[in-house]
Amino acid sequence: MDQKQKSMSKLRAAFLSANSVECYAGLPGLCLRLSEHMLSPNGELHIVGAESQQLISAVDFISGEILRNRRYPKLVLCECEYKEGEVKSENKHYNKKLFWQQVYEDEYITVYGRAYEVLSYKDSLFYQTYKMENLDDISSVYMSDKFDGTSLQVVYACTVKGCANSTFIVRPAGAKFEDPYLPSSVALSLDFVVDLGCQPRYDRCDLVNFSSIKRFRLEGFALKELWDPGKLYFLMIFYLQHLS
Amino acid sequence: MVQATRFSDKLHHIIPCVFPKGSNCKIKKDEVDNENIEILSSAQSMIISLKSDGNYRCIYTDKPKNYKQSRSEVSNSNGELRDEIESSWIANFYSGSKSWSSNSDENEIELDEESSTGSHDSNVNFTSSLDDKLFLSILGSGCAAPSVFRGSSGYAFYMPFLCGISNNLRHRLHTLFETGEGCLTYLRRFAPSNQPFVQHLRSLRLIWISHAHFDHYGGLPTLVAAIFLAGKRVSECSCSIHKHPQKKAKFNSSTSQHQGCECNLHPIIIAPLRVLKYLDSFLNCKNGVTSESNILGAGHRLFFGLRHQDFDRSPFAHEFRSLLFCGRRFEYYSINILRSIPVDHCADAFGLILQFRRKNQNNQALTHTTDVNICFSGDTRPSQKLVFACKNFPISLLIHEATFGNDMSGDALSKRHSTFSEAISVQKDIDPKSCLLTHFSQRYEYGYSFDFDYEADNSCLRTAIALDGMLVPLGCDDSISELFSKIRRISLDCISRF
Repeated sequence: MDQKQKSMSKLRAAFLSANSVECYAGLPGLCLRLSEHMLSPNGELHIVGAESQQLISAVDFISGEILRNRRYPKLVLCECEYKEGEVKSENKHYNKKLFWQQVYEDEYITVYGRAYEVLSYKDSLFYQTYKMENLDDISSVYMSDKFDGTSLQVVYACTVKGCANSTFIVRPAGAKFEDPYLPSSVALSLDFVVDLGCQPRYDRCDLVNFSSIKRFRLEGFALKELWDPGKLYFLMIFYLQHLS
Repeated sequence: MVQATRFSDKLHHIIPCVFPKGSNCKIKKDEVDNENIEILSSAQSMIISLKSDGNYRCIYTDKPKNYKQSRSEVSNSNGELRDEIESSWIANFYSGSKSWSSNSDENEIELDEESSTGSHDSNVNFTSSLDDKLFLSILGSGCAAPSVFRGSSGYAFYMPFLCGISNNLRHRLHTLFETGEGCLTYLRRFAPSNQPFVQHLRSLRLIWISHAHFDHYGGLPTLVAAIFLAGKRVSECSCSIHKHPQKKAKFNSSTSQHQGCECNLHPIIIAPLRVLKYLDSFLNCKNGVTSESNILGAGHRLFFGLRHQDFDRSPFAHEFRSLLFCGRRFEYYSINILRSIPVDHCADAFGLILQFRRKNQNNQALTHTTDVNICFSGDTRPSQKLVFACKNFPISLLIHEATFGNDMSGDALSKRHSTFSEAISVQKDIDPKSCLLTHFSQRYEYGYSFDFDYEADNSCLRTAIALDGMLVPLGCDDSISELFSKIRRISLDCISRF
């Protein structure tokens, strides 16, 4: 147990794939466990996610009420903004360009993120996990007429410094990765793609031809349908000792 | 997580009625091996035997010849055993006179080879005396530190009700004590699959949090969001009996008319103020109503939040008390008393006395002899307040924390928890029909070693050790203590073995 907890002191960043509560509900528990260790190199833990008032208030609450007088970890919030811009595209259906933004960098990796909007109830992890896609059933809910919430999801592209062809992409559960372009600052070929979540949605819309690219799927480190979105679903947790 | 799942799957095969099959029970063929059979034989309760075709068969060694089991087992191409039907949900473990109960009409009824020689009734009566009992499901019996064997605190109560469409008796989630991290996952894993999981979320009525430590409320935001997304909730009671108590009294007097409220209002959360603030912060809402910037949309009611003190005393909480104490139609029990007792752990720490009262078909409460009284200690040092509060109630089940073994009394004192022997002493003072010890420190992994006093003490015969996934039927009779006296030894066997 002690060795496992010591290895957690290498943790530098947690990447959230969406700004819905199931993606960051596990943060307080993680921070409480990390509070017993001095995180390298300077005690900071970067929380990266889509811009959201919920995430801001959650991180504030963790810093103030959960961690209280504990010195570590020092939480650093990095928000990935939702930006749209017109771009000429052969495919008329996808004429909006979403910008890649650099969201994290250290001596080992550089991470870019790109946020996009989804209907929160339709693309929520809860629906995907518990197969709640019967919208007819939801339409009978009394509040359905007002159920107009949207949320943001983030696709991350990570490049490992000093390694050729070492860029990979991590996509949220049910992601609709509509833009095939990698960050312009990354002149490297895509090495592999990691799909998070249980089952990809049947209408998953990927314009990227992934047929020649090795793909992995993470299911929350647990059995199918049993992964815990709140507790285990961080987009990526980088154990730098493994990457290096 | 994987290890925990496999552990609970193994327990399911050993004591299927106490550890019902989860929603994802998979055990490979070679894991149900001869070693397990030895353990089961020593428990003198059940033997699992493997058939040559890969299926397995359960035999109760101390059960009458007409024992039956409804099941449908298939063996897939990978050699995995998989139960397709929840055969063990309401299983009669301790009463040999009843058959296994099933609420799935499509279940197969199959006789064991041993029972085929005896007389048996080909038409199984699915409504046994166990069917209409409340059930307690242990979602997590561990402490704050993460562990693969014990989850954070969580206890779910399943209420029997008459399904209006099929007229079958089923169980649905009604009350939750504590919602530690991963609560939603454990609910999903251990919930009966006789109806969709979302139905359980829709029927949840009360969430009670003892105190503001993270291992007791960490899973609350995810759960509340899931309840909201499950839908079928209303903000106001259309039959208005909660807002107007005189109407309720009138309804109650004219029993032929009133059969309980059918309105499915938002869940009531009774918790310390800090927990309610945490919920508001993480769900981006104010007093349970979503803010404008909320991704779920603005103005949606997610829950009704109340502090312990407010629920007991505040006149503004009258509506919620009425809402909670008025039983829902077709449910067999309603909450009659909910009393939070201050205990000795931290600021705003409470224990709980909860009384379920049996109803008849007209939603009338039956006599107090049918009451099921639950006492939950929360986290606490041995509390005389709790003992005193229990004096007026014949406690059916005491759920008491026993975080540390007797060798760590110093830690128990400094962290304001109870040791094993202290929990037993409280049990003797309260004198419940049965006692369940829980909230074990994760440093013990499987559980601490119990000294011989526990084995020798007759008063401990009604005491059992909580394990994740355990299912306990609750009734006003002595059935719990009978069950505990049997599973006590088995639980220890399981712990020592795995």
